[in-house]
Amino acid sequence: MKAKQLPEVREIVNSELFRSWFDALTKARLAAREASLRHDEVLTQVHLMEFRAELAQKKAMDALYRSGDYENASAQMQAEASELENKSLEVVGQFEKQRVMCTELWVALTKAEEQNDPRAKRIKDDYERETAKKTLLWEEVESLWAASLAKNLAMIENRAKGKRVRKESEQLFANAEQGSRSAAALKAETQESARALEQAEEAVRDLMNKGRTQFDAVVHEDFLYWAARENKLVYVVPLFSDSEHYNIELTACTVYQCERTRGVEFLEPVMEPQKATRVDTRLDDFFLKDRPKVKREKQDA
Amino acid sequence: MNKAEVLQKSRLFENLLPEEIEMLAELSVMRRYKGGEVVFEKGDVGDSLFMVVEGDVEVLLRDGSGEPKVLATLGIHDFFGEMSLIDKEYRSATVRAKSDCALLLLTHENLHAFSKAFREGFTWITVNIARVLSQRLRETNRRLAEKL
Repeated sequence: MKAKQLPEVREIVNSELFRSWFDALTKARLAAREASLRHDEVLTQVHLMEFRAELAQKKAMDALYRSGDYENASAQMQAEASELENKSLEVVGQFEKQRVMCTELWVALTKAEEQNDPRAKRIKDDYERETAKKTLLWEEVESLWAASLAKNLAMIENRAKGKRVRKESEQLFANAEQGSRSAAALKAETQESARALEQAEEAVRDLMNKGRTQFDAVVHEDFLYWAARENKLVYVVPLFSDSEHYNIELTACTVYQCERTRGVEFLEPVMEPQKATRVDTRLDDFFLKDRPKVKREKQDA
Repeated sequence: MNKAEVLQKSRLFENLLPEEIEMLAELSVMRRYKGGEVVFEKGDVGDSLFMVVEGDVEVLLRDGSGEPKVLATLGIHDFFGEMSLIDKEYRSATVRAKSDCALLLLTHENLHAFSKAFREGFTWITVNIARVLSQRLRETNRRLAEKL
């Protein structure tokens, strides 16, 4: 790259060749940006689908374990209900014996009272004690039946829930499978979008290389540079407009200047050389003209 | 919005030549603030001066009880932030947008770049700053005298 004078740089930037190159570059960059956004979108979709499939798989496994838990609990409750049922039958047997005994005592008591038998008092005591035992046995029977009923109902509920959760798990496995298939199908699309992105970026690189040779400039990514022949500065032309991120507001394809060491960190507008013939009298006029001639009277005097 | 036209109307740039105004326009950056947004806080490093292009800003200082007190309200064509630029001290007060506003900002580095290109123009800017500071000092003296 040869150092250039400002008019040479301006001539390049204002040339039809530069304009058409810049237009092509702008279009290529836009295409690359769109390709990049498209690629990002497809990648996001793939990751989202994969994540959903994984989540569905995990939930399916959880549901499967849960259905197993319900089924186990149901079997356990069935065993407990049967045990309670057997126990209740056993107590019903005891109750029946007790009821027969109480009936016999009642008959003996009635007979002893009719005959004024002195054993009537003892028989009455026996009858009351055994009747109390009979009542307790019946209460135990009822309690066992209630417990057995509760177990039985819970067992049935668990069994039904186990079936339902197992079905849910099957549906989730199916969803996970479907999600994995969709993600795999979309992955093929990411390869296509990656290729499109690579091509678009390649087109931008080609144009940047073309700019480097056509305009004899240093080209990095966003600026073209020419060493200034008049001084040790560098002429800079941004390939974009930006009003926020540099020390001045940049307009695309405008010539700026910067120091070699600071580069685009500090950009300055390029000013035309001032005419040496002009005499600037502004400061003379300010300091030497229109001053008060007479001292103001002192107020405190 | 034409930045050069805005700059031309500010007292800070009185007596500047069109080409000087043009360069300052290129060196200045437009910043927008929402009403209530702080432009800078007392104690911040002061490396730029601002001109009000649209809206109003308030200059605030906290009183003895810690409550912010409005010292002044600045509007279109007013400028602020020049003191830190001259004395290199931290910001002496807080400035907050009173309404949605647009400010033109000139950093000390950009002004330095201007001074290299236009010595006389830069001298005028410092003279203009001195004139405004002098006027403010006279006003403060007058108020002080009234209170004594």
